[in-house]
This record gives sequence, C-alpha cells and structure tokens, in this order.
Amino acid sequence: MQTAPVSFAARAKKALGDAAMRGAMAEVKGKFISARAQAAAEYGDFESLRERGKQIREQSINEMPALLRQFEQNAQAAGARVFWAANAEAARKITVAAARHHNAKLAVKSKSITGEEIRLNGALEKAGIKTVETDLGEFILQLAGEEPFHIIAPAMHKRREEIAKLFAQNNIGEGGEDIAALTRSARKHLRAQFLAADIGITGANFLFADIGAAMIVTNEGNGRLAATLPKVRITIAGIDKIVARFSDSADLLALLTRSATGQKISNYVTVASGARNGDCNDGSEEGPRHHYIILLDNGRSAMRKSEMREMLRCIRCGACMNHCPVYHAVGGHSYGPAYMGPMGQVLIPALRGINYMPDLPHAATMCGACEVVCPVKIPLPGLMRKLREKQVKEKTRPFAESAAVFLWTFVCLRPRLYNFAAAAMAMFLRLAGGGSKVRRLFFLPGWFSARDLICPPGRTLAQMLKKENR
Amino acid sequence: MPAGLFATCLVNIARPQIGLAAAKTLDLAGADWVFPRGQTCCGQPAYNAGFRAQAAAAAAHCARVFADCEKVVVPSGSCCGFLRKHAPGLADVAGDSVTVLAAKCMELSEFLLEKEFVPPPRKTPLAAAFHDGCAGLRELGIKKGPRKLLAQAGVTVSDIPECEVCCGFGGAFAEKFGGISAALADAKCENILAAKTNTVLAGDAGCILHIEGRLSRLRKPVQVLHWAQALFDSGGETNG
Ligand code: SF4
Repeated sequence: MQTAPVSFAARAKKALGDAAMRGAMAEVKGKFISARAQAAAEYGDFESLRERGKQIREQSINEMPALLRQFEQNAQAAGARVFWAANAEAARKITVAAARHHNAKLAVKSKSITGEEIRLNGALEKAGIKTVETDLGEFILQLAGEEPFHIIAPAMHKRREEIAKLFAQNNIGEGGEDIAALTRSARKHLRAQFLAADIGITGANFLFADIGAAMIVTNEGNGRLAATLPKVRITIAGIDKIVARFSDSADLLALLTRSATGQKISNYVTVASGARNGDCNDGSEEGPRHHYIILLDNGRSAMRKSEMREMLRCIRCGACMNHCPVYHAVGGHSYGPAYMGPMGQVLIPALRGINYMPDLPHAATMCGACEVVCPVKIPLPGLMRKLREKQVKEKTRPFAESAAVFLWTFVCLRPRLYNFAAAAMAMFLRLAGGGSKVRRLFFLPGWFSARDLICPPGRTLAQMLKKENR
Repeated sequence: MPAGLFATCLVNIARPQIGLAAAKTLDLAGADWVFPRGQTCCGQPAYNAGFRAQAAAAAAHCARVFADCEKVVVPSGSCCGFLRKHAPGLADVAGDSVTVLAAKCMELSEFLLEKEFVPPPRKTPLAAAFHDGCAGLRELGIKKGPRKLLAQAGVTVSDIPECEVCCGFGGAFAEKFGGISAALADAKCENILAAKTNTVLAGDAGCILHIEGRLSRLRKPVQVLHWAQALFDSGGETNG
C-alpha cells in the first residue's frame, strides 16, 4: 500500500511552485508566531515551565515500560481493554477486528496523527467500515483526498473558496463562501454522523499511568463526541504519550496549548479511562460500553534506546513547524507521511530508518528557531545533525560530498596548502567576477541558481594583513 | 598572552574587508593581538554535514594554532558558535584542547565590549537596518552588543522586520537546496525592502554574502555590510 517516497527535494520543488499555498502560508505564519510569543510572555516564567515539561517527559521515557504496565492495569480495571501493537499493521488489524466484532459500519474519528502514521483510514475502508473524519480540518482534507499539512491545523493551507467548492461538490450545506456558514454546514453534516456511528476512534494527547486515563485536547469538541457518543470507542496512541502522574497535566496542557495556538487552554479537554460497565447504575445511557486502547510501538521502543531518544519527549504541539522558515516556504506536504516540519525531519527517519527519505534531515539551515520554542526543549537541529552523522557512518552519503569534505579537511590540516588554495580561490573569484560580480560557477549550481557573488578583492585577509606586517 | 584574530574562511577568501575592519577595531580598542598564520577552517562545514571525525580534526588544529592566545576573537557568529558551543562535544575525538579553545572564543562585539571599547564617532551619517544572524543570536545570545557599538559610532540603527528569521543561507544548505534557500532569501529581501534602507548590517559573512547575493540577482541596490565595517566612514579598510 505504501509507495516509495519521493525525495524531500522533489516534493519541495513542486511546493515552491504552488503560489496559492505559498500565499496562504505567508498570510498565516505570523499569526502562530505572535500568538505563541504572547501566550509565553503572559504566562510569566515560561522558560522554567519548559524545563519542567522536559523533566516530566524525561521521566516518561526513562520509566516507559513500567508506566505503560501501570497504565494498562489501571485502564483495564476501569473497564477498558488494552492492546499492544508492535507495528502499524498490528494496530490496523486490532482496530479492524474490534470494529468487526461489533459489526460496525460507520466510524467517526477525531484527529489522530498516530492514525495517519499507521494509515488507519485505508484499512478501515478496505474492511467495509466507512470512516468519517470529524475534525473540521481533517474533514476538509478527507473530502479533498489530501494528507494533513500541519499536525494541529491540518488544512491550514486551504482557502475558503477551495473549501466552499469541496463542500458544494459533496452536497454539504447550501453553498456560499461565508466561513461561519461553511462551519455550520460541516457541523450539521457531522452531527448526523456522530449519532449514527457505531464506533468512535480517537487519538490521545497524553496517557496518564496513575489513573489509567487518556486525555484528548480539541477546540471543536469533536473529540469528546467521538469518545462518548458511540457505544464502542477505540483509542489509538503511541506508547510515547505516557505520563506518570495526572497531577502533571496542568503543566503539560499549559505548554501544549500555549505553544501550539497561544491559547491558555483548549476549548475542550477530555479525560476518560475505561468504559461504562455493569457497576454504573445511574440510569444514564451515556458513554461507550466498550473501550479498546491500542498502544502503538512502531519503532518507538527502538528509538528509546537510540540517539533519537529525546524526540520521544515531543508533545505534538506544532510550534517547531510554526517557527520554521523552511516549513513556511515548502509547506507540510513536502515532508514524509503524517509528520512534518523539524519534528518530522527527526521523527520520520527515527521511526522509519535513515534511508527512508535520506535528504529529510539535511533540509534545514540549522537556524535553531525550532529548538528555542519547543516546549519540551528537544534539540531538533542537534538530532538532525546526529542523523546526518549516522548516514556518514553508514556510508550512504553521495561520493562527491564525502570527497569534498575529505579534501577540504586535508587542506585545512596543512596551513601552507590552505593559504595557497585560499589565495588561488580569492584570485579566481576576482577574475570570474571581472571586478563586479560572479553570476555563475559550474561547481556551485545551487548557489548561482538564485544569487550572485559580489566580486571579492582577490587577495585573502591573510595576504592583506601580511602586507601590514602582522 | 595576546588575543588572536580568527579570520574564518568566508572572510579570509570572499570578504577580507570584514577582517580589516575587525583588525581596526582591535587596534583602536588597544588590544594586544596577533593573526596566527597557521589558521585555517574551524571545522563547522564538516560538522554540519555529519562528518564528525573531520570536524574534530579541524577544530583540534584550530586549538593548536590558537594555543598561545588568551582569547580568540571571531568576527562571525556561526564560526564562534561552533567553536564555543559545539566543538567541546567533539572532545572524545579531538581531545581536551577543543574545550580549552571553546572557553577562549569570543565573538568580536563581545570582545570589544569586554575591553570597554567605545568607537570614535563617524564623520558621515549612516542609517542602517540590522539582521540578526541565527547562530550569533541563538547560540551566543548576541543582540544588543553590535547595536550599542553602532549607536556609539553614530550609526542610526533600526531592525529590518522579522530580523531574527533565518535568511536561508545555512552553509551547504544554500547549495544543496538552492531553491528553498532562495525562497527564504526572498522573504528576507522583502523585509529589507519594507525597511526602506540602503544599508543592511549583519554579523556573519555567510548571511552577508547570501543576502547581498540575492539582492544583487534581484537588482536591488542595497548594500550589506558587517556591522564592524559600518563603525568607520571608510568601511574600516583604510586608516582614514
Ligand atoms: S518537537 Fe517540540 S515544538 Fe515540535 S511538535 Fe514536538 S514538542 Fe512541539
């Protein structure tokens, strides 16, 4: 089902030519940045909170196996059934089996990037279970047949006119391009699906070991509906979502929503553990009768033992991509499946291997804008560099690059050779530029595709200072 | 022990004018300084490409060259950032000398401010807009220093809009991903044009060559200088 990935460079090239997408990005990028900055400033000591977040999540990683077992026990005691999925295929199978067991025909789903990671929808559809995305952004993308563009705002690149067209094509609503009206139409359409659905599928932002409960954070309330209306609920979560104590939820929430959208808290925060069982004699019909929780590994345990371990701290806030100038230029569809921006550049190779999309960790200027906003202080550029180092170690880099580095290093360890080469280069550039500017050089096609080099004076600083007798 | 001026490759080969201006500030600050002849590259390009052993070898060489210097003055945020923040992580290969070197490295403005250098006022007025290079800003925390020196020299300094956003250079990134890098440079150029300035100042030869290279290709007559050059009427190249 999974096709071989196109390189990041090829996808990015296509994206750079997409004027509509780039226009939309130019418009929205500043909003995320200022919202986050304001929310962090207003909190007060946000830096200490980031340190706290890092520690909470470090504990998650350190004690992961034990915490997961504790979570399992507590969730089962509350009436849920917990399944362990070693990989994407296992998770898909468990989900389909659970849905079939309950004769499900229709599933409503709240946004789950983990679900995207394992390509859950395709598996459900193949099993004859209609799956409706209920997050407005995901719903739009489902209509458009597109993948998420952003982990928290999946359809941020879609303009109102485009959405109106999609709705019209699918007979949703009464037409028109008014945003409020479009939202109302989607809501009406989705409400019927919620009521008719046999199962609800949600992701989880956090799994709390001490209470055996999953927390989901949404702004539209669709997560809560998906979690509570259908009689069967399936939660799919990466094992990295584990957190030791529910008492840490306030700090994590503050970090998550302030970093993501600049909100003090999201509109809805839903914490639910097991299922309604025989013990509930309150006469109410509400809540799922069955709750299946699928804990997905899919490379995470291996990551925990690797140099990419710190990436498991990620709370999927999206701040790194919101602040990434490369992401702003090329958009979310240039990266691998499900994850994008700096976090995707680390997470995708960490989960799928460094040769999956080998140029992914290289597509960064190392400007560090992501690292300074990451709420759990993941050293994203440093991890990208470690991935590069791993490629070098495994000798998968192009020959020309390795040769250039070896040659350069050889020269740099021999000052006289270096000084000679530097002087020759300075003179060469001077001559190539003819006194004004260099417009083209065969050995730097990338640079000269879009930039000149203003003609250097033709002598090195070392030569100039020598003349002044230093 | 004297301070050592570390030219860095891009300054040495492509923009020695920056080095001359830096040298002039050191003279005016009354610093005892030398220009060690054995200096080459700090190792940053190899480091960012993932070639750890080669980066370590270059950094260790750098440490040897500056062994007799009390401080190492670097007119570049990214090379200084590499030597100070990253090179110590290579000590397992490069040996402890890189850790010693890291503690000695100072970006030019840091060194000048520590020396309590006050630049003489310029004779001709200059209004310029500043771009903060990523490594200097986020790895070394350099922000106010150059602005303070410029103000003392009588330069009217403003910030270009989004002055802390990367210009898209990123070393080999500009070559490997030329198109993406140019898109970032275009965003930077737009902000520069919005600032309505004739002169952009930065603290890194990489940013400078990149921004001015893109402006030149777009035929925009805006000059891009290292802030040290702007301290002097002559750009720091002569004694005038
Ligand atoms: S890496 Fe950090 S900033 Fe990026 S999504 Fe994860 S937690 Fe947020």
